Parts: sequence; C-alpha cells; structure tokens
Amino acid sequence: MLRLRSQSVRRFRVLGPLPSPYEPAFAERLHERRFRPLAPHEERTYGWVTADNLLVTRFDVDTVVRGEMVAFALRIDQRRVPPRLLKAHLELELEARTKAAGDGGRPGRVSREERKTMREEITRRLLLETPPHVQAHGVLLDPRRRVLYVQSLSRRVLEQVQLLFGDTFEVALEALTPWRRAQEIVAGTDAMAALEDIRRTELGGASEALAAALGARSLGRAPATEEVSS
Amino acid sequence: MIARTPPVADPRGGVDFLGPEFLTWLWWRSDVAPGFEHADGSAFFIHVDDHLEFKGERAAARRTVLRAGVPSASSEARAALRSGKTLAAARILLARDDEEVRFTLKAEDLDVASLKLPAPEGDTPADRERALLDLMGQVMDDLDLCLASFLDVRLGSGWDAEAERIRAWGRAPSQDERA
Repeated sequence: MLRLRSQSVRRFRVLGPLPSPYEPAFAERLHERRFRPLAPHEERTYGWVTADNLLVTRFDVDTVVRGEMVAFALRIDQRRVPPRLLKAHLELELEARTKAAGDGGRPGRVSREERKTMREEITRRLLLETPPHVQAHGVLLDPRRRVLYVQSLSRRVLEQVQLLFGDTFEVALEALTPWRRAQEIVAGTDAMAALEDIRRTELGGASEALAAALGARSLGRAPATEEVSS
Repeated sequence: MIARTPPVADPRGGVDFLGPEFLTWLWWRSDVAPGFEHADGSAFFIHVDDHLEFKGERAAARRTVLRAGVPSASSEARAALRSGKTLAAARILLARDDEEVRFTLKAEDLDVASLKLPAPEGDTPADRERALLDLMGQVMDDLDLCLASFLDVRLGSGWDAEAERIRAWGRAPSQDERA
C-alpha cells in the first residue's frame, strides 16, 4: 500500500486532461475501474483500491486527496495451482482410472485429449481451494505537475498501471526516462538540437588489459564484488 | 468507449546511454564538487554510497556489482570504468542541512529504488504523511536539478572538456590505490 518511508518509484508524465480530484468525476472514474474480487474459477483480477485499505473501493475527496497529491492503489489478486500439487493429483487420478479400466477387463490407456481434460478439471477444482496471492501497489498523482508516481519497479505492475490508468482516465502515461525528462528540461532551448543529435561518449579511458591489471593489484579494503551474467 | 493508451515505441528514445552517462557524471561530480544549489538558494550535497553496478555496452556483457567497503573509492570501481563499462545503478546519499536521504538510482529509466526517508515530524498521522510527501517531492526536484546540471554541460560546448576530466579522474588512482 502507500509506504512512504521506504519505497521504490517510477515517474510517469500524464498526457491528456484529467478531472480535478475535487470533482465527483474523479472518484467515479476510479470506482468504475475498482477492484472486484476473484470469481470462483478466475485466476487473476485487478483494479483500484484506496491507498489506506486494500479492502476499500469507495472513493471520495477524503479518501484520495493528500495535500497537493492524490493517492490510491492498484490491487492485483492472482491464484495459481502449485504445479507439483497438480501433478500429484493428476497421477492419482490416472492411476485410479487405469485401475478401474483394468477391473472391467480391459486395461486402458488415457489419451492425450482425456489427459488434458482431466488436468483442466483438476485445476478448476483446486483453484477453489487455492487462496489468492494479494498485491497492492501505491499510486500517487501530482495533478499540478501532471506526474504519476508508481510505487513498484516490476515490469508487469508498471504495464498494468499504465493500461488501467489509461483506461480509467482516457489519458496516456509516458515513463520519465532520462531521455524523456531531458526533452522536457531543454524544450524550447538551443540544447534541443544537441539532444536530438546526441552520440554516446566513452567515459572510460584505458584498455581492458590495463583495467584488468589495475584491478588485479587492488590494495586495501576491497568491496564485495559480484560478476553477474546479464 | 474506452481509449487505449497508445504504446510508446521506445521510452528511452534509442539513447540508452544517456542515463548511464548521467550517473557516471554524477559519481565524478560527487567526488570533485558534490554541492548543488536550486534557484531559490537551497543547497544539497550528493555522495555516491555503498552500491555500484556496472554494465558492459554489449547485451551479452557481464555486470559488475560492488557492495560495501566504500566501493566508489575502490580500485575495482575505477577498473570497471576504465574497461569501458558504464554505471547502471548507484546508491546515492543526498544530504540537506542535517537531513539525509538514501536511494538507489537506476540509470537507464531514472528509477528510484529503496528510497529511505527520515522519520517525519508532525503531531498527527496526516501531518507526518504530508511531511513525507513533501520530502519525496523534494528528492525528485533535487534529482531533476542534478539531471538539468548534467544536461547543461552535456549538450553544451564544454562537454568534450568535461568528458576528458572524467576520463582523467577514472585513470587517476582511486582512494584505495593511493592508500
């Protein structure tokens, strides 16, 4: 939810008109795209909740306006049958079916199609018993600056917020990457042409061999180093 | 009728290097002139703290992550820079008066990760929340000022000389090497 003392944040620029948070239309739009609980056989659902309580989907000025900011949250519920549990159930059922067929005098093989149907039935049954994994990610809107702060750096969550916020308010969100923010900062100045023509600068300055040699004769207290394949 | 958000072709505008160059410049700047000042006279200081992550230019290149033991002053960090790797993420300490804020700046998308704000003052939870929101906005303004200062030199006629100063700094022995 809305964690402020410790958070991770990506900034987006809101492109398009937004209703004022003090107008009923703002809360109504959020309510239209509110979180709705999972139906019995649904695997995933998402929608807006209040920033203070992920069970509350009633929005008004008091619940969303925080000084100059507007706060709410994206809730995502997802349930997934654990693959090992599904496999175990499937094996038991296959065993029982084979045995039953054998008792009848004709040991049967289960076709691929039958197996698929069995898997789907078991999944549906197990989904009813599987509690959802619940996530909620704070969203802060600064209407004056037209900036949206999303308190997550997960690619899936960010894409979900972009899509849902866009659908809710019929606007677009553009991530404030260094390039996009730079465009805004230098807009209308001579530097704009330089930004459009920008080329990479090598800020290193020595050969790899020299770098390796310098690294090898590291002195003193060395930091923990980790090489990671990307 | 719901309007779908039009997809942005490339939010980095095909210039993936701009963020890493900015962060590398900020690392250098924090070592040689760590102070920044807003137009209203409020000043803050930047210090690159205990996490540095370098990335090679090629997609298949390995990342080097340096943690603990003041990596920004280490020979390993300078070696990574000299080998042509760019700074992809760094833990930043931002100090204003007696207040300190720490966060990890992820260069490519300007993401702020693990932002730690100090305990706010205020009589009510609403007051404290307001103070934290103000502080968060201040951090973003500070970050924007750092980026604007970088762009001022990066897109101006003084960039070649600035880049050479950074390269010379990278070639010079680090604090660890001088010790």
